[in-house]
Amino acid sequence: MVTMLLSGLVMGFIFAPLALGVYISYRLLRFADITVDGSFLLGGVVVAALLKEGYGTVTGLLVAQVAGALAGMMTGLLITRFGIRRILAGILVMTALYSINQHILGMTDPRYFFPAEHSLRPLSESIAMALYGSLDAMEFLGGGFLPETVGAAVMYGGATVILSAALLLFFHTRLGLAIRGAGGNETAVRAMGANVSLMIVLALALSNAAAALTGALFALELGSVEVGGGVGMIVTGLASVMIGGALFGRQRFSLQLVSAAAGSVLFAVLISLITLNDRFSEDIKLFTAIFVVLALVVPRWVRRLRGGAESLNARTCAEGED
Amino acid sequence: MLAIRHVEKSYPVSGGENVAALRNVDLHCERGSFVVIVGANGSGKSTLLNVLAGSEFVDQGSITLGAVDITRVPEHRRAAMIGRVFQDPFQGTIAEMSVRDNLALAACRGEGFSLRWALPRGLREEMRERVAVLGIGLEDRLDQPVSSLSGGQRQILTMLMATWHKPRLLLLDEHTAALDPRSADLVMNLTGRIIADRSLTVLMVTHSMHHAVHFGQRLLMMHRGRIVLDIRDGEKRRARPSELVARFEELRRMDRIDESVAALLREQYL
Repeated sequence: MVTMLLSGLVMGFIFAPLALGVYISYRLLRFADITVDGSFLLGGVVVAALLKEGYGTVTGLLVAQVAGALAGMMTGLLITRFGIRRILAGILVMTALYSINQHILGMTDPRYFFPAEHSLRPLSESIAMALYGSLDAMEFLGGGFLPETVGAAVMYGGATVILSAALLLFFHTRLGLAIRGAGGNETAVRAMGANVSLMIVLALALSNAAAALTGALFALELGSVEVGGGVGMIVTGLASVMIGGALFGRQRFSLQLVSAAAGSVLFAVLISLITLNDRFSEDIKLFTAIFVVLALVVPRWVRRLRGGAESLNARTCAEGED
Repeated sequence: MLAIRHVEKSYPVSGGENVAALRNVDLHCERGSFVVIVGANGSGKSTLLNVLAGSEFVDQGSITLGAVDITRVPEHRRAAMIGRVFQDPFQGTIAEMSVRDNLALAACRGEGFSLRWALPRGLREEMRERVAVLGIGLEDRLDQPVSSLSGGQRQILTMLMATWHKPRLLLLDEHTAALDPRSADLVMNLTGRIIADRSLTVLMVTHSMHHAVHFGQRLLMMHRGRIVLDIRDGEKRRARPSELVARFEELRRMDRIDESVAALLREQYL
């Protein structure tokens, strides 16, 4: 049980970059960018390809993010340069990425297993060692749960905090502020002299780089990557953003951003509790989709019950669609 | 300062024809002049502001601002030189962002959107001072989202944003038209004050004959894409709202005569 919760925590931290990425597309740009389904897997196959070529894990993670950023820019260019509708642009790039990912994986074998030495496990183990002195002492103290899971939780937790802080700082720079503004009101931001098209491309690059990072970390943690992974990642990201928004409110921007990462952790723990029962392990995506539907619909019911017309503002927050 | 030379602009309408919105418009404005533009719907006054701001490009002719030919400069680049306040209070500000963040964006105008900190301490203090001077209590609401402000407050905020860094040219596009009469007067009086304090060069489109007569040193009336009246200084000071309305009526009557003549010709020759 504790181990289950802990690995849920680890998964939550691994999926936090994805949640932050979806926050950028869904809350700031106001559309659900399905490109992340493709760039999630892109991150996994890029890190696999690089490790196979003998590059280090850190290089692999960095290149995976660059690849994700390029995918996001592609979607951004389809929207801004060619005037393709935002949802469709995402679908097109996601579809194209399906083939590209297969090519990068580069074999008929639809699944690639990382060699044991290629993972972040040594790092998380050394963190666990540093924390508890030795693995044995840990075993003795903890009575049952795996010390490297604790180490992994600390490692990914630290990474999540650093990433959230970096994004938070970024969105308080002039460029970051313009990106936030471009999602809210293009006319006003253009009148302030910002190149709105560039802002949209940058926001999607950032969003998909984050999704690719999650994909790469997930592949490393799992020890394998397979074609067909990444389906429904946008919905997982949305679930995190919504659970975070519901719990931590939508008041201050800083709080909103961090709440997406926190939502990811909560959602993953929730999933791990549900999958405690083996019967439900096949139903995660169904559960995730239902959860998002409820998160979209229930607030509207509540508002209707409270009476009166829905405020325009609240409605655009809930839908955020084209 | 601002020179508009032989500008033409037309739009395609259904049926494959083009309708001219600006016909051979020539206009020169000196630095520091406050020019008011009136005209009926479809007279071309909004199109004129749009081609100046760069939302649309002219078909023919040129526009120079200072020494720069801006005829083909894209909108977001022109924005470094040109401030703009829109008719719709929702257009000029970002509703979900705080008043402070909106002003911080305005402070980037002309300086670029780099990775510099958007809200350094000095800027925060400057904001408090410049907002307090307006006397509408905005200084206590800097942290609140713009969506909590009234339409009038929003327009005043947009006005402050458009002039945060002194623009070479300020465009006011019926910026009081969507407000109730009291807010409209408040916004217009503050607008006049900001323009005078900072000796801005302004083009203001208005539907209010009252504002048209009381503000600015020069008055243009547009009709069917042309400037049909251009009075300034003493002559403008003597103008009365009723005279402007009478002039409007006269133009409209002439239109009607044009139309009936055209109808007559059609009947006789087709």
